[in-house]
Amino acid sequence: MIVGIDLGTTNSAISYWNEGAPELIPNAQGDVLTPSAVSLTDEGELLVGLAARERQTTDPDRTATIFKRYMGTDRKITLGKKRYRPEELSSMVLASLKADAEAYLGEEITEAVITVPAYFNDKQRRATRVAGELAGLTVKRLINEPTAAALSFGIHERDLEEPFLVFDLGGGTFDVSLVEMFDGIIEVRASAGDNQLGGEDFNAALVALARKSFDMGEGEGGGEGGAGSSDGTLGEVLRDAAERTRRALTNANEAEIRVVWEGKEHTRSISEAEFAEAAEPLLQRLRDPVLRSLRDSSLRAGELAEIILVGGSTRMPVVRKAVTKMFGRFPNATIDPDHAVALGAAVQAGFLARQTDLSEVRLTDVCPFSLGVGVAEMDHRGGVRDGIFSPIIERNTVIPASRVETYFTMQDNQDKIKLEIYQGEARDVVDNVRIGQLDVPVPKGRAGDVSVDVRFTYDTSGLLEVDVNVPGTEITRHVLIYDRSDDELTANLDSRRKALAKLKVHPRDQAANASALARAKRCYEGQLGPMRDHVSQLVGAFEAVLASQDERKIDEARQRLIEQLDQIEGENYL
Amino acid sequence: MMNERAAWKLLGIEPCSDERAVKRAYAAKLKQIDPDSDIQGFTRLRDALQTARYDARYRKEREEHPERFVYEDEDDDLYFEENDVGDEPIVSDVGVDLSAVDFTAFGNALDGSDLNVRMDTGEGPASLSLPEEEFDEAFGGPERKDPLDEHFRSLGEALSKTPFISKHDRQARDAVRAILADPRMDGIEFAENVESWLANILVDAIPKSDGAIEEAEAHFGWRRETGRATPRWHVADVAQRADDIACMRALDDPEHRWHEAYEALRFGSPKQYSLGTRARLQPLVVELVESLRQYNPAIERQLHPEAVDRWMELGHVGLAPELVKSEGISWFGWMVMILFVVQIARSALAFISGAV
Repeated sequence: MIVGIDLGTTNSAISYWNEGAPELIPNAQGDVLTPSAVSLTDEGELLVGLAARERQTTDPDRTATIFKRYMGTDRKITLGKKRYRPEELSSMVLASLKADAEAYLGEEITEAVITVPAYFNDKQRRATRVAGELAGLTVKRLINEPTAAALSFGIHERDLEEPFLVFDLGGGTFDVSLVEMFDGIIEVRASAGDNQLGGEDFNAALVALARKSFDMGEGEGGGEGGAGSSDGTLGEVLRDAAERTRRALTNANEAEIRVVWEGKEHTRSISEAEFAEAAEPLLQRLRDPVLRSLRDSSLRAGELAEIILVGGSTRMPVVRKAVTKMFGRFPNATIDPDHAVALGAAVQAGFLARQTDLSEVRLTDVCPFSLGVGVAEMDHRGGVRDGIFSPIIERNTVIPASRVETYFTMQDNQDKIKLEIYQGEARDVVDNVRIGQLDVPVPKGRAGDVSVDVRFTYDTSGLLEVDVNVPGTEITRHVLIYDRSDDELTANLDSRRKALAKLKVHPRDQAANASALARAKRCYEGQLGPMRDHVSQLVGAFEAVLASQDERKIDEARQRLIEQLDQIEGENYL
Repeated sequence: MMNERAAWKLLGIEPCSDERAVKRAYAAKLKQIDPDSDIQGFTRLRDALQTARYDARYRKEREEHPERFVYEDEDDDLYFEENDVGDEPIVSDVGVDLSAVDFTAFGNALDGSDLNVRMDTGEGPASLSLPEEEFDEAFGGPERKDPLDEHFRSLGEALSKTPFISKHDRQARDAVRAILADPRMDGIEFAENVESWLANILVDAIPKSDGAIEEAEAHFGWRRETGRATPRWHVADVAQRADDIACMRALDDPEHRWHEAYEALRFGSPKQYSLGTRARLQPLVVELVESLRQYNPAIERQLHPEAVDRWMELGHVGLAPELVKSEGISWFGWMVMILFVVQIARSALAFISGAV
């Protein structure tokens, strides 16, 4: 059995192909969405999911969220006394999902399809693979999130002839894909995106608003990269409050942002118009990828049959309005934006397992970024310039693809050619992502007389192979692209896996209790005066029942606790 | 990357104008292969699909509007060579013969000098008239009362009023700016329509539309799109023009390494220069001409043709070899050179060059 996993910035989900249709697998608490959060308890037990996220404001030092944003970087996140790399944290989420699936399906799960933002670069993709391996999963395929969403939409709408656009705004990333279907072929025509734009940035905009009126200073983390990531607890408290306010604004024209900080309560009401104004720069950034994907696919907005919204952040009315304004019509909101990606991953898993009910369907995807080498060239701006990007596989080429380009020496008696391999769109290689390097010896000769053929082969798993051949000689080179600066990413996989496996995971059957308790504690910190005492009593009562170890009683008490918390907080917050 | 005949053969169907049939044939072939294990085979199939798709579109256009393809019957090789952005002929929607534009005039016009300018655009203003009916249709009918028509009209006027753009350059720029500032440009579809209409009008008016092209380029970023496959060939043409303008600006700068060579090619024969200067300039001239031929062929047309010939001949016969050599080394020497790009398919629409 191959499972499909949507490893999201805020939430993750796991699914499988169940005889003719994709199906989501619920976690231990019965939810199909598991927050992408991990936390270490004081006893050193690992919590994943809702329980962990509830501890984000109460135990920020021992809790990690939105780490997907740092995938592919060397940034480490502290959890208690230890520091973890983002792919290690992701692997904890994956391991938890894997356990859920094993419990639900009653068999061992070793293979998975994992989704990544289409605009994830090569390093980020590799980090995702490593996360899978660390969790004990063989990653059969990485599939682009909007492509997955298109699959789950397309598999039901097989007769749709016109192309459609998938608009995928998640917690941390934004992707656009243009998809066309004909004769059982689901073809992605183009993808574009912004891998640093998502719901978290809208939170940050709200936090900036709140900070101004609460007179808390600008805060270092007020801008990019997730609200308040730099100033600890206050940042987390504000971000949490902003998230609630943003959700409340989905159904109301006005909502309150409320934080308790250092024994004082701060509230401020925020109207939708105010929010829209604060979010305007972010809404502007939604435009470029849309335009670019239309250009690259040579489709026109008028030809699109549907605009399909995917990703939790597309629930925001400000985003919906921006989309409606952009296209001059209403987007299609019939599919569940939180489930579509995971369901599509299960469809892809079904393809890979060669499920007979899918044999007449083929999917082709594109490589959303250009791949090429750095060259020097005579250009018309001032003679020879070094460090110019020469794409070999241009962005939005259908994959797998194999392309060859010929390059020439520029110096008499040059004895080697240094090939630096880059990914990106910028003309100057310094602005692109360097993903590898290769030295090729060449026979000496006059400048321009010696040539090399460079073939790039990019497969559906996102693996790049480079073949270099010097015509007229025996010299050939073949490499799988692997960047040495990434050693840390792939080094000691086995020992790291073992180290992670040693982490004691909080018992799965206790997950519901742990998250209820964590939530109650967070609620306690968010209240003042008599209400705080009340919450304190609730926590005490629940802990007493927990000690009794009577499962039936515990279940009842947990239900009661959650109901009361819902009343206090006025919502159910998943 | 692949010629039409090979593409149709690979898809296993007769050439036709039906895009749907192309896709059907492709789907059938795709189901017979496993792309993951036969990557090169799959790449070829993709190339065939794309080539056949464009070819089908082209055939359809020809069937529906045979009048737009009169060029092909005329002996107009020069035109096609110089605008080699692919195998699709570049035709103006209004059927104006763009090759009638005298490009030699325009370098002078850029300098602001009105001497010796001859500009004959055939029917002149007619080539710039807006296809208003279609335009209205695209934007929701004539009942709309907004200044956009006015701006377009003003642009058309500025571009067609006189042979010289210099006096009307500001008017053209302002018109383009006003068009781009329209609040409806927030709508993608609207913006797309404006983009292609602008491209249409501007490409027809090259080189008079240069100022306007610069304004529009700043907004749409056309130059970034050069070299990309786009069937909207008017946009590709304007993008190329925008690049030409930027290039000429750079060359006009006395600080530019090729500035002197550029001047020499525009005005003088090598005889006007001393032997030493000639030796110094000659390699630069060759570089410049080669670069222009590769990237900005339109600029060469504004150079003095005889001057270009003389200077280039000089490279083959004229100079004492040691002079060339010493000069050559001084400039080759400082470079840490790696590779020289051969321009394969300047335009991705160049299908004619045979199989992969």
